[in-house]
Amino acid sequence: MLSKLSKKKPSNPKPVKVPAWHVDFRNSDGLPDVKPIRTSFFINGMAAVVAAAIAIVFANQELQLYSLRSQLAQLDAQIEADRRPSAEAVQKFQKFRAEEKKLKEVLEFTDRRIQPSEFLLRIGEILPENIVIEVIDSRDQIFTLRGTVSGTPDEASGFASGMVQLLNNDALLGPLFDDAALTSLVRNPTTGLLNMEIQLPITPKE
Amino acid sequence: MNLQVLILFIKKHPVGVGCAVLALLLGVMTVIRGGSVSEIETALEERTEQGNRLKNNLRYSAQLDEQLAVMEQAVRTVESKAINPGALATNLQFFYRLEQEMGLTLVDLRQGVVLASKEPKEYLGVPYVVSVQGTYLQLLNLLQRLEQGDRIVQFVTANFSPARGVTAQRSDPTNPLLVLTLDLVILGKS
Repeated sequence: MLSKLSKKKPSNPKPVKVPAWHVDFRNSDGLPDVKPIRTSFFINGMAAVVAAAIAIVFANQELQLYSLRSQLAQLDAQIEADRRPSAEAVQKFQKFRAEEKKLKEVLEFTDRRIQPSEFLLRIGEILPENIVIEVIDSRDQIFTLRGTVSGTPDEASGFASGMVQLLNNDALLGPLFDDAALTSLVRNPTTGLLNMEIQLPITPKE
Repeated sequence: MNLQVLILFIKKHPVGVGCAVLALLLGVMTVIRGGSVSEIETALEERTEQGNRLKNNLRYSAQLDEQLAVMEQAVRTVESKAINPGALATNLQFFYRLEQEMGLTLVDLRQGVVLASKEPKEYLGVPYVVSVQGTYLQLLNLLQRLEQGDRIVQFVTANFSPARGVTAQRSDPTNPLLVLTLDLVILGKS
């Protein structure tokens, strides 16, 4: 009997463990917060920090606005003070421009590199003894000298080219004219002397 | 139900909710007022520019009164020298007076037709053909009077030539008469 009993093996050797449970009757909302640092502290703190940050931004902006408004007011006052004298200055400047335009027109009208009398006097100063100028002509920005060269034809042609050189190297006339050129040198059959023609084209202004 | 929950939440976190509401209000205000900052900044830039312009006007006009006075004086001088193209007798009288004063002989004197300018101009040029006979010095003086005298003259052409032939001149050098032929333009009022 005992052997029968001992030989009988149990059908379910490991018993199933059921966790202990019970209904949670706690009212979480009603219970006090017992954490070391309360949750409401974080919520309130966070909200306060955010509010403070926004308040700082707002205050800064208001300060900026105040500063801008006061600058604007100062500028408005300055503009108001300057407006009348400035308008008068503008009016005077317009008048100045109108007068300036008239004067520029006159300057353009009288603009010339050399006065005819100045040219005449200078030619008289530098003219060599053996050259006689008979005609001086000025037209189309070219001064022309026509005259007679005394001496033998050989000497006379040298005097004529010397005159051209003299004109080109002259301190007053040289810079005013493009290269002076001997445009004609012919013997006068009546007098036997050489008639010459020198042209001095005026250098245009840059 | 929801309202009750909300009221309960507010009662439970009065500081947090208060701060949140405040933050919200301030945020909205910041956004709204932020627009006026940019508006004022734009206005400030415009006013600064305008102010600078006015200041520059005043700065640069510091000596404008004196400069304008000089300019007006110069224009008055020009106006007094500019001729009226229609006043033919008065205009020719200028040359006859020169002839008399300087002992010259006017060989030819003609006032030409004033050419209309394409652009509107304050002044115009009145053309003249003048031919004068005299000695070298007389003609030189005449040129200088024309250059710096009572009229504003532009020399178009100028021609100095002996009044007599070269041979006659050489045979009698005591009478060195020259003829100066000028194409002039005198400044006139338009």
